Amino acid sequence: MWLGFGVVGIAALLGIRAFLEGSGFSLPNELQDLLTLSISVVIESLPFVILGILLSIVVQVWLPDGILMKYLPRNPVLRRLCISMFGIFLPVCECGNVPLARGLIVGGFTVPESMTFLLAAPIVNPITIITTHQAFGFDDGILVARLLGGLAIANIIGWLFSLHPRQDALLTSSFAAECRRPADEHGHSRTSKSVDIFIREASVIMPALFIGALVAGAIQVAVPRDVLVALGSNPLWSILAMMVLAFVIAVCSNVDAFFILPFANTFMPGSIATFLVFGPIIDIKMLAILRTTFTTRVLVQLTVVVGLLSALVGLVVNYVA
Amino acid sequence: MSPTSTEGPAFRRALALTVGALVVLCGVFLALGYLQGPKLSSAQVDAKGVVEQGGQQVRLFANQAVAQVKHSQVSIAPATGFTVSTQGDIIAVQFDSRLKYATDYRVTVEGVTSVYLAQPSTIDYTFTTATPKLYYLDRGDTADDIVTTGLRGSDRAIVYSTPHIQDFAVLDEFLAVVTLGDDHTSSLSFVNTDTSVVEKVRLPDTGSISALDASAAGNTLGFTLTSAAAGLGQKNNSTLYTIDLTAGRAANPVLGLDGQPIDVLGWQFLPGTGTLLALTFERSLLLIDPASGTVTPFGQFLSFDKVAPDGLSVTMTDTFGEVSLDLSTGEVTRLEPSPVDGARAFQGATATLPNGDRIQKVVVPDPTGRRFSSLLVYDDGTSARILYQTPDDGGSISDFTVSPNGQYVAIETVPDASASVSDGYYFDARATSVTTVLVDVDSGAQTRSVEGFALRW
Repeated sequence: MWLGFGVVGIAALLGIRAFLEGSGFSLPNELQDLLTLSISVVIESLPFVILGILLSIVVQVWLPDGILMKYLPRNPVLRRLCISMFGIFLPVCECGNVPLARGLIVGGFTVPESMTFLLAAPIVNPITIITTHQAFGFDDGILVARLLGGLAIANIIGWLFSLHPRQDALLTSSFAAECRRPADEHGHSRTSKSVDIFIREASVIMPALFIGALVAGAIQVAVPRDVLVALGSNPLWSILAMMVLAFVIAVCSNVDAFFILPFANTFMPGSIATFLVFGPIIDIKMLAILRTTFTTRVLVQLTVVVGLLSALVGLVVNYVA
Repeated sequence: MSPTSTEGPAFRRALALTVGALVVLCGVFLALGYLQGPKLSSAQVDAKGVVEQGGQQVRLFANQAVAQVKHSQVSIAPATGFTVSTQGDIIAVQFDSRLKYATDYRVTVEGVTSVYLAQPSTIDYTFTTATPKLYYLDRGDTADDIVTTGLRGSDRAIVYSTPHIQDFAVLDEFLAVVTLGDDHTSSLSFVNTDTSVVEKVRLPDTGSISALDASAAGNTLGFTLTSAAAGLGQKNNSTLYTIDLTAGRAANPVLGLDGQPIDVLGWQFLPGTGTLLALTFERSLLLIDPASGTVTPFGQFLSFDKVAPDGLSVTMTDTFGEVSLDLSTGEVTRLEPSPVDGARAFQGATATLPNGDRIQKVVVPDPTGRRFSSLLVYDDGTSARILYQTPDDGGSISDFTVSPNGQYVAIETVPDASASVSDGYYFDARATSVTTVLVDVDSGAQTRSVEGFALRW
């Protein structure tokens, strides 16, 4: 049902836009902006969500059992460090990483290990590295701060939640139940298992993406960007403004460097680094998608710690650069 | 079971400690950031552009938007005139005139504050200006060479070699080379300095070319053309032509006030522009923009001397001697040579510098009045100091050119005039011993000499 809701919603958005273009009838500017912004978030994210689901299927169904576990170090810290580098081989942006992270949990990874991958992969991946380098080069250490900051945040979060005594309590009850389902419940052949997982994951993720995109579009229309830009030169306010902007804009990590580049003349470099570290991990759309997997309490804790770590990255860059 | 009770004490403690530690660290770095003031993130300067034309900038990028910077907050060493402006995180220091070649410049901005905080800091930036590529003509027995070299040392490289080079000019991508034929007529070619491809230009008339000059903008060439046929068949007589390389290779006559091609006694492009100054056979000095066809008369003069390196004035000769003509006001200032070591000097060719001082050729008689010294001097209007004197006063100074930034003067000289032998060229002949000497104008030090002439900056 949810899959149908998501597909119909996206189709409706595109249909309304096409109809309006052809009919000569025009919506108020705010509504047009909302429509455009929401569609752009969906269009930008959709290929990566599908790619993420496909990679999740590969991990759960097609890779031999325990193959990933086999080559990882036994020491939990080193193990999470290795997992945080997975993004280099799985160039998927943050939305696509959620189904993949869910697949990793189902496939036997612990929740903190999966979280480590989830937080690091959108930043430590080749497309993000290339686009960030194209936008900023090595100016002000923004690229280096983004990579090291992303790795540090992912591993600190992984360590923190590894101390939680009940890992299943970190997950929503529905996803926890999903993880407990025996492997052969998905179907008999690998192909039917794959189809089953695709439908199930898509029906969970797509509506969340659709709603997240709509909320992101609505907030962008409601919050004047000038207000954020006016704060750009204050060491503290510039960082907070960039975190709010990243949260609201919900732009994909593969292209966010180009989005923020025009702000680089106004905002301090540390605030740009904060935007590039915080945005791929926490934004409206991501919280909507993450809510399919983690409890609200976990998401609040995650947001607070990631927010503080991102701010620290920005403040250090401002001091050093 | 409540969510808190499922977390366990270890997780809750670690979460609290992590949040606490992060809050403290953020506070520490925030305080450090507030105390630090703005810092230099990066800077942009065109090291070649600043020596080629005035009005160039060094742009200092701070790590945050900075408050307006006043002129008094900025210092530059070595000293040079400038203006300063601030926009966002950029402090732009614009130089009034060209900077010196191969020189370390230090720009210091004191008391820089951000737009939010009063904490001041000092921004300091050092850059080195470019060394110019010099070209000169070295005539040989079998072929003549156009050579590149630098301000110092002995490095030289031949960029083009062919027999009978009369003159040349340097354009952006080409050398314009005039060669002399056996019939004493000139040919004009463009030589691509990268590919060495030679492109011969079809001239509007068969004859001789002289007074070749290229605009500093690098895309327009000018020259005068005199028909080989004398008398009734003569179409051109020192007629001024230009070729705009962006529009093709056609030579077009420069038109005067009456819309007719002009015949000129002397002419020169104004530095950094495609506009030219020409003195016609009727002794009228005209300021002409060949692109728009605008012609502005500047009065009557006898001969054309040199346009100042900054393009703001020109030295001319009228009935009573050398004058400097201010091209912005039309004001004429008579140039009287200052005494050299107490002796009266007789003035020759003169170049006016941006600061109003002059470099000029003078002849000074000895107390007996039987011998004369040929000198190049720096004249500040009250006294003159010698920049160059030929060995034992036995040589001659035939011409000189001041570098566009006024830092150096290239002096074309024949060391021993009595023993000189002409190279026998029908036009623009030189002594076979012609030498060009480079002298630092400030110090008077001779930095370099090359065997050749027609040095182009």
